[in-house]
Amino acid sequence: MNDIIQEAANYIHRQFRLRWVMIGLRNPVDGVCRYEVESGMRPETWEWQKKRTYKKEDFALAKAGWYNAGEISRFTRVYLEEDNVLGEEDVAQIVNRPFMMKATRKTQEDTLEADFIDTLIITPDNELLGWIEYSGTIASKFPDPMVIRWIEFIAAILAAAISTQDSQTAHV
Amino acid sequence: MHPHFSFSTILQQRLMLNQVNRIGAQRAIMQPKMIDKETVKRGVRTSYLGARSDPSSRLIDGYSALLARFHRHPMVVQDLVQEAANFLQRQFRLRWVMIGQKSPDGLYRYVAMSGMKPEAWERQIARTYTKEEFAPEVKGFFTAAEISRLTRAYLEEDNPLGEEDLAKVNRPVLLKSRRRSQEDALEGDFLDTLILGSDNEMLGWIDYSGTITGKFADSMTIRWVELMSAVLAAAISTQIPRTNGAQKETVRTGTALGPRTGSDAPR
Repeated sequence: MNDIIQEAANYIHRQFRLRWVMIGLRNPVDGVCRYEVESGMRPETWEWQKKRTYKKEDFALAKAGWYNAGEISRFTRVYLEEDNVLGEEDVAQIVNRPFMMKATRKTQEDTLEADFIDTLIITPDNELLGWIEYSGTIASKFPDPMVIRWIEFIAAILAAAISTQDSQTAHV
Repeated sequence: MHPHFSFSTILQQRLMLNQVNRIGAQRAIMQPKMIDKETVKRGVRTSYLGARSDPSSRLIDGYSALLARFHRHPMVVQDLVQEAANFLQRQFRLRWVMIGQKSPDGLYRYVAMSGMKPEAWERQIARTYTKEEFAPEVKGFFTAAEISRLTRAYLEEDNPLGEEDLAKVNRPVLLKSRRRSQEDALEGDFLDTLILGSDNEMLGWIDYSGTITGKFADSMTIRWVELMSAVLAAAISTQIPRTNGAQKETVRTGTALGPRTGSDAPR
């Protein structure tokens, strides 16, 4: 499974000219969500990111004291830098290019350094299997809406693959 | 004239107002307007909603619905194959679609269709093929033009049908009509997109006609059909028990493997 999601991360990063992509999975045993693979992240930033853990409740659209997201679709939400102010420690550790923080958003198509988008990997019953997290493009713009659709399709493929593997593992 | 409103006073006031406005405008240019975060979120959502009506976006919805079957355990592959045939025929406005699979006895048979006349379908499901019969070209038998690693085109002129095969054709009355342009698809034309597993193992194939307007499927349609073949390959593969050293029916694309047998003559 790791090979598949790594290939997916590489493909999304390269094909859609995004700054970085991370894919996380939810462990079916303990229910904890962790980043598993990345493409485009600085090694130091990735070292911090892969230590982080989340619960499925953390993926709610708005949680007091936690991330605030704008809902784009059933699968996708956008997290803006203004809504999710980072502390100094977080800026140093988990932002890919901390020196770009506090740039101003000149147009509504512009992305800031700490903006990101999550596309959830879910079953038809809305069970969370994982998520694809990605930045804006290398031109510092939000991805084109068809790019988001394609990433949602890749999320559907990964969901099918994870579900198939889980059922085969259960039968072993 | 009123003592407090002489012409020069009015002119002076107007000039001062213009100057204030110019300074204000310059300040506005120097200090860019803050983009409201709600506007940003709304913009992303609005452009996304606009993209939902894009034809590719609707196709993505259709494929995602098929992928949802992978979450049913056990997955009923036959249902997925039938749904794929229906989807392809309807979505790409093809005259007919048939999907065949490798059977447990090693022969290949049609298992699902959409758009075929019942009588023609009855004849088609009685047919069997060996893996050799999927070669692109063997003299005296099916002759195909290779479009890609997965897809071949079979033209009516290359594969003329005998009388007994007319019953297998969906609309035999339209056979031998003329091809007026190179985009036209004749009744006896069809495309095959192979369903290959890992190592080019032949798992099945998708047979399809031209469109309802009598044209060949366009290149992007063929790509979408090839994507469907990849989805079906994944589904069929989940049903195959893997044993070490198991014999696989492989297809070396681009090389002739052998003819389709004369007993199951070309359509």
